[in-house]
Amino acid sequence: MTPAEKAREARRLIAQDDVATRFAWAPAAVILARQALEGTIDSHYRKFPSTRGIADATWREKLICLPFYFRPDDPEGKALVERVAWCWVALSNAAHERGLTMTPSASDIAKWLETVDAFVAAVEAA
Amino acid sequence: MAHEPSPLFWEIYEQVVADEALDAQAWALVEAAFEGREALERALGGAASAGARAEATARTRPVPPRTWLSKVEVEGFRGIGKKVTIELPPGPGLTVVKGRNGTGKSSVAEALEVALTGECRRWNDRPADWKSGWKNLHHGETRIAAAFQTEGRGVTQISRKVSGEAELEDAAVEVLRGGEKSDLAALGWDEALATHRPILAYGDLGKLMTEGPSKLFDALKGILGLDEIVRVQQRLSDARKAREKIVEEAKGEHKRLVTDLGALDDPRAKRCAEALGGRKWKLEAVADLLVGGTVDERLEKLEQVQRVTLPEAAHVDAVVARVRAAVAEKEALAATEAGRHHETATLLQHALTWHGRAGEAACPVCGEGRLDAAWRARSEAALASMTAATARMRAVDGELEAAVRAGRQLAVPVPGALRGLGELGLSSEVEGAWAQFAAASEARDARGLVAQLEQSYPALSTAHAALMGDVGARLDASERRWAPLLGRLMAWHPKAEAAVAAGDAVKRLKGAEELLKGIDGDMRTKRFAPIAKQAQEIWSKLRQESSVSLANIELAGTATKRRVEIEVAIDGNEVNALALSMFIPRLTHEDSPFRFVVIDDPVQAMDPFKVDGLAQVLRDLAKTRQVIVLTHDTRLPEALLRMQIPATIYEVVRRLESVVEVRLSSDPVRQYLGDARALRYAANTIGMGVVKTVVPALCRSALEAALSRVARRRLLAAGLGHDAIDERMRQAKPTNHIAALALFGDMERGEKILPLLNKWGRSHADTFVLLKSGAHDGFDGDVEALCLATERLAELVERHA
Repeated sequence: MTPAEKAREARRLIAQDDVATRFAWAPAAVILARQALEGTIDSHYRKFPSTRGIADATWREKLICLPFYFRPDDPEGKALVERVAWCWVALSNAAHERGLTMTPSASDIAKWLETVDAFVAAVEAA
Repeated sequence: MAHEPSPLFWEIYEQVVADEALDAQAWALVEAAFEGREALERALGGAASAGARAEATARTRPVPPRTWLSKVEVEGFRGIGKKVTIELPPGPGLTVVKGRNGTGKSSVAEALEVALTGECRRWNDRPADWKSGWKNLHHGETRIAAAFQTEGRGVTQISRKVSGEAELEDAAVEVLRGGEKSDLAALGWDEALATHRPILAYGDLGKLMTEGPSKLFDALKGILGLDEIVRVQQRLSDARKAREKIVEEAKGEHKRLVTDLGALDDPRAKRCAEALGGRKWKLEAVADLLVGGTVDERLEKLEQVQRVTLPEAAHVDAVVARVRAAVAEKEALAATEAGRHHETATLLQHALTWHGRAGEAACPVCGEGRLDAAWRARSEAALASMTAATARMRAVDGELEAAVRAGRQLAVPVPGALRGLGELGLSSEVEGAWAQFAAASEARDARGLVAQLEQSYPALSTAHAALMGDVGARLDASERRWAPLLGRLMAWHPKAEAAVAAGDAVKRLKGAEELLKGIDGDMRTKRFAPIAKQAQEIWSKLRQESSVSLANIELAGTATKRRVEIEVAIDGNEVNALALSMFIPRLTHEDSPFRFVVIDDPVQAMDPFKVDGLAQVLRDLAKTRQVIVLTHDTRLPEALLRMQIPATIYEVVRRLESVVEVRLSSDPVRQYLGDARALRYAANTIGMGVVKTVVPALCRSALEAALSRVARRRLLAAGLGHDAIDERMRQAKPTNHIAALALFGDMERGEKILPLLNKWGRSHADTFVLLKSGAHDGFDGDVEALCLATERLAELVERHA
């Protein structure tokens, strides 16, 4: 599955009202969204030989470097990178089962998916 | 006129004069009410209003000099024993003070509040022993101090010191401004502290939100700066109420008067009742009645009747007796000699008079006798005796004539007043009786006269007495009841006149109030719109993953119906987030002199997904404000770090016996360097190429963070305003410019940077050059060494300030 397909699948999960996916839809959608975002970040780094190494680094390192390697001189690009960083933090929080963590709502996930979609499209267009 | 219209007035004025449909009369009153109570009274009195205002010049609300927080010192207060000092960079930015619960970090926020206001709002509804428990048990003396940087005024320091057993209210307050003694009032912060209180205890905010819409309304309305309108509204309504009272009183008495007038069978009362019966009181008609301008004919007629008198019975009897005595005497005398001789004497008198002229001669009557001297002597003697009897007879005649005249005089014709008594509802019996009595004057002789008098008088007397009784009763009843009504009418009349004028004024005032209400609504909407917008933005950031949107916030209603209408359905947890959304605009309003915001424990009860949103809100807020957040929760500092949001983080740690330690845990310089070092250790994975590109850029950001902070502090200390500083910081894009600003306060002195750095040590100048070029061209040297060199240079820069 491509990141775009994962994001689409995540949207389908939150949109449908299916007994079969009761309770499972939320963590599944979060995982799909997170994979879509991370996959896009990685694919962005893998595009160029100079940054290929970053794709193998930790997520902290990947996020530290992102402003320097994604449209660094474009204010819109900068704003998108910020949104991506926040979105990753939120998805990462939601995807980690910590026992006490609450399951995010469909609208929470939908909002994150907006950022994922925007970034997927931006990287594909680059 | 001494009155200087407020900027708010001008703002309203400009809006109002542009309105073609404006009710000029109502506006004149509103305008006067803005001026004051006296002016309003003058305007209501019909006096010309203050007249055309001078040309309205566009005026804006004055922006108070902005103040930043630079230091808080706490000693012997609540959880803090030995002195704790927290230094804060005075300027925009985010500072987080983190610490476990009970470390005393909230004591820092409370201390700041006490320093500023002398009290701590969040204690207000706590038990008394909590309030009195402000003293730290491990420390004898309490001292709270806060230092502020105020644009153009230098450093302001407020300290409060409590010794021994004294209470917090009795603290010795010391205020220093620009190194000189001052006092709290001179700072001019009182109003802003109430309206924009820059200290936010999150839990209390939730409480305010749930305490009811009117509380929230009051808390928010203050920031609109429309309190003056409330005062003006009060003036108008006071003026109206005073007049309504006058009208009410007059109306109450009017109602009673009309009822009482209607109940009185009196033409005057009837006329008054008619004059006052309609919706519009004919006060002039009433006034005419009061001054006796109209005559009551019926009443006058009654009074005329009452004036009619009858001869006393004794008098009538006396006259009758007199006539009778005279008649009797005359009859008795006529039967005597004297009576018979009366005629002879007359004849003799004439004969003597004839003899006196003719002398001795034959008797002209018989012709036989001779009238001589002897006859004369005889006749004169006879005449003398006869004259006495004749005089008596004449006297009796005279008396009878006089007695009859007196009798006729009694029998006067019926007085006009007694005619038409039936129309007055009285018995006309007296009229007939009187006619009978008067008929006596027509009697043929004295006997007839007295008989008529005697016969008719008793009936007349009875009828007259009855009439007088009736008339007297009628007059009495009328006057007795009319008199008090008259008194009431006279007392009421001037009040009624005042009430008519007051009623007119009430109408005008109502128009003015209506107009002002509209103006208030307009101004409220106008001023609240940006606040509501900001609240909505904050809300959507806080709840970034939520579909619950804050559609519409309105300050609605007035007086007891005032409320904040928020179109949103939220649950308990979200109340806090909503409160923060609503109150950040209040804290950060342009009118507030306070550029700092202290938020105590905002993460409490926050949905984990929302902490990211909070971090974003705080970051945005910190672009223009000095944001200080106290938290016991690790999630916020964590979120800031991971989201690369620059922040200064202090950690508060508690030792035994109220010893509280504060240490710098992180700041933007360390954050950038931490990121740089993280990459340096990942060099094997990400490749040296990336490391050498990114690390110098991060190191330069670290240095720039230090330089910006120092530059801002220097410019602020130099007396520059917030806007001017922002403008310079914006212009100072290249590192060189920021460095020149930080080191010399002048962006144009870039050439002096390297000589200064060289003075500090040759390597520092090299580091500076390296960071400038390395960020663009990459870097070939030792990455760890660069991080270390940057750290040292940043420290020196901070110390230089």
